Amino acid sequence: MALKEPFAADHPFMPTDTFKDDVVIITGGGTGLGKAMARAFAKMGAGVVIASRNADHRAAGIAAVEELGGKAIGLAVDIREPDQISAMFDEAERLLGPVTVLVNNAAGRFMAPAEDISPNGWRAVTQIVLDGTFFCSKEFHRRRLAAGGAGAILNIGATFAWTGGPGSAHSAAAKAGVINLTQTLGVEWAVDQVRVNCLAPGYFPHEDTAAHMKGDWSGEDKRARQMPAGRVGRLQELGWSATFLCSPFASYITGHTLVVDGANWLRHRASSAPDFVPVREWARPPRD
Amino acid sequence: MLPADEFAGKVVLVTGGGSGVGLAMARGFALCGARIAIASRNEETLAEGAAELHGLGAEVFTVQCDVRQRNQVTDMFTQIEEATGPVDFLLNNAGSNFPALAENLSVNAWRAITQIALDGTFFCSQEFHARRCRVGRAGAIINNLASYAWTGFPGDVHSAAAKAGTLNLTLSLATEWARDQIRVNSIVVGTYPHSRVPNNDPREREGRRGRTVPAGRALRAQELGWAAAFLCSRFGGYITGLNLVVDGGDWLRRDLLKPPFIPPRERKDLWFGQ
Repeated sequence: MALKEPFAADHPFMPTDTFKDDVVIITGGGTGLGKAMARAFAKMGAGVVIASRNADHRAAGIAAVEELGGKAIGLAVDIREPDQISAMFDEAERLLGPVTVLVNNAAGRFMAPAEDISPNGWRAVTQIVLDGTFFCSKEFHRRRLAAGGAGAILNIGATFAWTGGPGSAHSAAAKAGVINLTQTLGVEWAVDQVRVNCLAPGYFPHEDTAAHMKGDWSGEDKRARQMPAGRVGRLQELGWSATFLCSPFASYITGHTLVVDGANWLRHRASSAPDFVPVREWARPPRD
Repeated sequence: MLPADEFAGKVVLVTGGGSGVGLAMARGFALCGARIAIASRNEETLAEGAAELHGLGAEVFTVQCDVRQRNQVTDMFTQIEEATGPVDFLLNNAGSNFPALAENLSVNAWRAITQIALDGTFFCSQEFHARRCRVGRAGAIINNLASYAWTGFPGDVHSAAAKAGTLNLTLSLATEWARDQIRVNSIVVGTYPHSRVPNNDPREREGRRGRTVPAGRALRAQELGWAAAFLCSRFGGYITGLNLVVDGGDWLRRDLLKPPFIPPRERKDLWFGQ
């Protein structure tokens, strides 16, 4: 058997007006997990900002929210640049109102053996994932403090932050930084009523999963059989955890990293691992 | 938080559910329509807890049980099943605690505390799993933890070791039982003043301890109820092996400047005093 399938995505969860007074910025909100979270927040009344460098992605995120009868705008931003972040917050405030929830979801990732990661490749990933998370959080907090209001930040971590990520050294190191930052900021900003938490997702395949990340794992059966849960994650399950953490029902939860992965990262290597294949034999960056 | 009928027709068993953290979690389930079974060694505690849950309109079944005794655990599940139905959710909250220096801890005291918390959690989980598998139904378990499971706690070696064991148990069982549709998680509970904690008046503790928490206050009962209900609900259906920390950032405090360290054996109040 596998873990039970979840309710359908539109099953009532928290009260439908839970986020009616909230404006949520989701970086990378136009694809994958970001888009799923945008829908989850929109369903409960939030005004959603799809923040992304890519115009097509912004459009897709807006469409996904509007399809549910929700409200969304798209804003272009490179989160490695603090000036662009500040401008984005200005525009979001002007169009939707003060930003009260921030989801630092934007990331960059590609598979490569560590020896082949160029300085630019290293910087691109670490600056988007770690620097971007920090810069956006700082801007969010500054404005919340000025407004005398509370807020919630949700970062995206990964369980390989704890184990290391062979084949993704840059991404794993950056995610480890994000989890640690979550803990630091959770303590520093509790007094300002800004809660900071993190989500560490398991495998949630979606239509935007890049081909090179899908790799050989085509078809659900192969992947699902490897997992204690016996199935992959469904996007609405991620949305529920994300919205819960940012809701008033999680008012005493801060500095926490919530793992939603069907116990996948808990598989003990020694007892059930196939032969070890050297990383350089399978970790390949995409061909351009 | 969740729809009021989310757990309609379901039975939740809360060991140690007559007071404190267990009762707070039980309230969360009562508000979602569950039938509540609370277990404890103490009849008076059970009666008080039941009264509070009745006040929320819940059906309550009380059972006396010493979770260190494997046969009593079996009997407990049987009694509940016959009275109100098979248990769908298990909250392993039974625990006992008192301050003690390790050098003074008697064999009996060591065994009492560790067996209630760790053995009791294991026995109840085992019984729950067996019964769920027999009827082919899914289920969820939540174990009660404290952050001293990670750090140790001078003056509380017995409970801290037991909690560390319970954390690890959560991880093993989650992986073993995922394919049986039994999810196993734990909640690290922050500062929750209540009358059963030894040596303190809850009101006084709220003031003093609340100030040491980054959140600036203690935990509220409803916050425990929401967390427990969320984890057991279908909305948490892909969450297993998780250790959810509900503590206002407390365990993450790292201060460069601290008051002088007073060796535990020199303290007036072993846990809270200087």
